[in-house]
Amino acid sequence: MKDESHERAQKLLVAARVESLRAAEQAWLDSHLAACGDCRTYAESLERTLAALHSFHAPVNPALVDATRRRVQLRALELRRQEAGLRTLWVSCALSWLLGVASAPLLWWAFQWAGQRLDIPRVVWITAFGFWWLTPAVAVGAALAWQGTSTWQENAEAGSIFRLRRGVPPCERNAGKD
Amino acid sequence: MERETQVIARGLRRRDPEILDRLIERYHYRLFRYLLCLSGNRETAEDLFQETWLRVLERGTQYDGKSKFEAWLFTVARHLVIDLQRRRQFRFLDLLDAESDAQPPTIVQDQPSALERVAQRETSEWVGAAMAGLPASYREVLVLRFQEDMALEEIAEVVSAPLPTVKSRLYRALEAMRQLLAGGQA
Repeated sequence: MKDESHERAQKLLVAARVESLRAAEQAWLDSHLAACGDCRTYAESLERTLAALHSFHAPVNPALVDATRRRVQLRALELRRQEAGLRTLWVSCALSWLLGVASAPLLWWAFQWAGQRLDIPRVVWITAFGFWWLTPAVAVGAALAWQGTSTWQENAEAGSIFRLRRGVPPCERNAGKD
Repeated sequence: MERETQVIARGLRRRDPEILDRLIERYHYRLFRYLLCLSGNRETAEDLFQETWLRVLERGTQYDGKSKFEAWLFTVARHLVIDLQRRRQFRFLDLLDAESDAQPPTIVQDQPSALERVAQRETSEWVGAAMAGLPASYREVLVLRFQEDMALEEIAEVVSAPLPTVKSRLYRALEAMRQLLAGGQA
């Protein structure tokens, strides 16, 4: 029998384990295997490989699963707390903005009245109005930025088991062992 | 009736501790086996195991419930392995990228066979030892296909590679594994 036919048969045997063969290919393979002992041995060897792969067992340390559960639960609570805090801040921000917009005409009128009454130059009382109006927005913006930065830092720290658990990555822990 | 994957996706969006607990219970073995096959090192796999679940919690909103949860879970785990490779010249992991496809493993018959090296041990340890002789990209597709029974399309999604690449990787991996095991039995 030609070498190419063995090669083809062995390729098809592998292919059959990965995806399905066409009917013609399967028929050719069956007839080849019926006549070729070497390729039958190869097929048996492949079957043993697959059986070995299926038998591969990787027991998980139950303590690892428990520790992971606890860590995930704690982190879930922490993230929920952070999200609740951020939500409150955003709501405050939105309310502040709405109140600012709603009260702007009244505030403008008040500054104008005070400016005329106290004989303050127009540019001064307009600037004062601007500051007064912008102050809550600036304060809330600064609070949001601070909150965002500290949350990001907390998350970055909590996000790495390597830093939290043992201080250094496993690759560093094992450095020098070999 | 709502599909299970959608229930999981909703639970992850809410960061529901009960859902997370159930997911850990259900998938811990498969995830650990995948990570162990990929890293070839138990301690590394344990670290990556914890980090994967934390990542699932933090990035849970990205799971849309349209695909199988395990495919998404393995994708998350895989990204962490790659991150680790990038952070360090990682001694336990060879690269998971396409470069390793170009260089099929050399089976050196003169060296002690897998069976000789782990004589008297359990079959799974023997298989594990044989797998350690394969590139990570081969180990990965083997575990996804023959232990996880994933469809080729799902594997392609997890490993972010085109379908033909996944197939050729599987062909080579299976043949290399056969040679390693046959060498061990000789």
